[in-house]
Amino acid sequence: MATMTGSTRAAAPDAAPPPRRGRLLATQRRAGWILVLPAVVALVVVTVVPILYGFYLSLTSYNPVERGGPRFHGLDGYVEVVTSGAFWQAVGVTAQYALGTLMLAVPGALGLALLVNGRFPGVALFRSLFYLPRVVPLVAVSMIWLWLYSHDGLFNYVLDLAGLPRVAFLTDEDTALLSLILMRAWKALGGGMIIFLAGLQGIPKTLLEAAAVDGCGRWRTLRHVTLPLLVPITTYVVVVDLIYLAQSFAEVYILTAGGPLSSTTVVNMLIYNEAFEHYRLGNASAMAFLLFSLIFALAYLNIKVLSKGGRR
Amino acid sequence: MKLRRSAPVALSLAAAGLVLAACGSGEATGDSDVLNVWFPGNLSQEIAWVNDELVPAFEAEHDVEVEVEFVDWADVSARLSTAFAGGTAPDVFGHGNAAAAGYAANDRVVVLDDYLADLPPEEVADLTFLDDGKVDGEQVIMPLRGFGFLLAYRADAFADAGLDPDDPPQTWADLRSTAETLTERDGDTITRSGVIMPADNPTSMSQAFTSFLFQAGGSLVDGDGTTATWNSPEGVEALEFLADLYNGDGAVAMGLGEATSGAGAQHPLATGRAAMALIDEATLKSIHEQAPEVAEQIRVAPPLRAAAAAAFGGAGNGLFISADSELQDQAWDFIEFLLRPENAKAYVQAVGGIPARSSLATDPELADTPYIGPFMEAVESFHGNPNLEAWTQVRDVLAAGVESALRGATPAEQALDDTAAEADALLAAD
Repeated sequence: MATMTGSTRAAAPDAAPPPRRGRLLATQRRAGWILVLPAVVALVVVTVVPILYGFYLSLTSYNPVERGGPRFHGLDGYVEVVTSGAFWQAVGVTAQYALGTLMLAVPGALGLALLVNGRFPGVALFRSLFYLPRVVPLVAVSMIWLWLYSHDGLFNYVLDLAGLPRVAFLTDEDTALLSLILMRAWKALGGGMIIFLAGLQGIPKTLLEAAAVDGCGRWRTLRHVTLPLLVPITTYVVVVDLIYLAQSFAEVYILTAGGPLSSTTVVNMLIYNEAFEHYRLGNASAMAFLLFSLIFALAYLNIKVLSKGGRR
Repeated sequence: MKLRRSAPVALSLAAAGLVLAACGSGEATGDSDVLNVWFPGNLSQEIAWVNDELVPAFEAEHDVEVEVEFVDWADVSARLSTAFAGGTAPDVFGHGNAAAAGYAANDRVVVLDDYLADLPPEEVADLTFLDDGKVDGEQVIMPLRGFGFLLAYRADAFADAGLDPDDPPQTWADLRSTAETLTERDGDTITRSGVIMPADNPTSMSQAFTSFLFQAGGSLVDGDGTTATWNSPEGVEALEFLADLYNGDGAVAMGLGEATSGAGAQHPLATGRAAMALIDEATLKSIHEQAPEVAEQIRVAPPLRAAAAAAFGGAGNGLFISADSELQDQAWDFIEFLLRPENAKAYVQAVGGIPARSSLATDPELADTPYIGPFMEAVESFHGNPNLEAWTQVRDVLAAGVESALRGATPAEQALDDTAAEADALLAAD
């Protein structure tokens, strides 16, 4: 479509197209619309309409068990949410969770990518193995880690063997969030590694050779050539992971259900409780839109900061 | 030419129509010739009994097809709320009593008094938990089984510690001293709890607290359900007693937050990490099924006594009839069929718990079942939640406070006062 429109515009300044060509272009334009229409309709129905309806719900008081349907109350729900301690506590937990995971996952993924960027026997196997956690569904991973973290799980067994005291990984408010972060970072490593690997393999060899000729060792080459060239990739990984992590729910629901003492209640867990435990869909929708705003702001900030770093 | 111009519009309308039709709300319960039933839970024994025996027997007797769906307990509320909103609620659905007041207040369920009036009086009198299923004096849920929490203990641990397995704790003081005797430590670390509470999540912690609150003579709310009363001196005494089990130098319990409900072979009583446990009948059943050799060593004590011999329990899950159902009479037939003595017995044999009929209390097979008999004997001592519309929210508030006190984060009295104030606001708005 874009090409067609572009060529039409290119021809327009000189003269109007001959009648037959004009009809052909009109037919092509209609065909284009017809071809994209189902996708547009589906997109509108399954994405745009629910978003708009969700926003409308955020301006209402709505309990789906009640027969009256949503009752419009303007911004009251937003006011209630932003003045509630539980929401900001959940925002804080979400930020700790997302940033903590990123701090482990991004350098870890870069490290793995650097390791498997070389050519050595079995490199394909290592790449596959490191990528494997990415392929396993998050729910399955969470179930496996639930057992690993349990009182009689593998981690406590290893601690026993080492003569160390057992740890209540998921049931102690001091360790639960960190345990979630470790699991999630492990899960995120493979995806980040593949993207960084693509970035590494896109770096022109001539630059690396020039650095070597100039006497740069491996560390200085990494520091002054490789990493600056990876800034766009890093920006992508950080922003995409941040958006994804800020919406975390499944792993929290399975591993801790937000406890103990709300120490792992991320915003989406709070939204779930608000919507399906307490049937306050209006407030839950308001929380969802506030979360969206926060993610948007954070992602925008990230892009700005990291892009600036890259230009420098 | 005109046709060609209008083609995209027509196509878009058709496509939109197809998509909208696909996600349309539909009417009430779909096929009006089929009785849709949602059972909460996913116990394989229950599923097999319902699908292979109950439903075929009912269909043979009634001219209606029954379609049963089992919904995991964790998803029941969410599934029902979306079904109500979408107009696709099943004709019959199961849930706990805590949901009854909310559904009744919003006219989502049928009042069953007229159906009950058609039953012989002796039949009605035989239904043990009927009163627990009333909201404002009207029957809205038919309880299928009862539940309760009792103290279970390892007879072998008692014997090893020089205690008499036939003389379990009867009072709080007994419980405390026995737990101290049974607790095993490695340095400062407890390696075997003397006693544990159901504490895998805040809700079960609040249920443990409620047992001790009732034993102390306290209550959850006042008579008209407008004020929380759990912060009474009895409540503070109960929560301090429980918090002391888990905290301080004299702690005799560990494992707050670890899985206990329905944990089967992984329950600390089965693994040997606890010598006594406050336990519900379904969890005890899961231990008997998954660790039968260990279960032989587990005995159940009568309810503890402080001011009264009491425990948290009462009506468990029951069945509602949707107010939007077009098959309400058939729905009642199904419930009535399920509550017939032979089916009520088979139901608790599959699911566990106390049978919904008092006449079954003398059934020798049930009385001899180690995870049913002791709970049937204690049925008079079990007391449940009040049927209030805001109860699930109020309970969550209480549960957060109880968890905070049990974890030693907040003194018991402060936790109860704070949560009572918060609950009062919810009850006032109810």
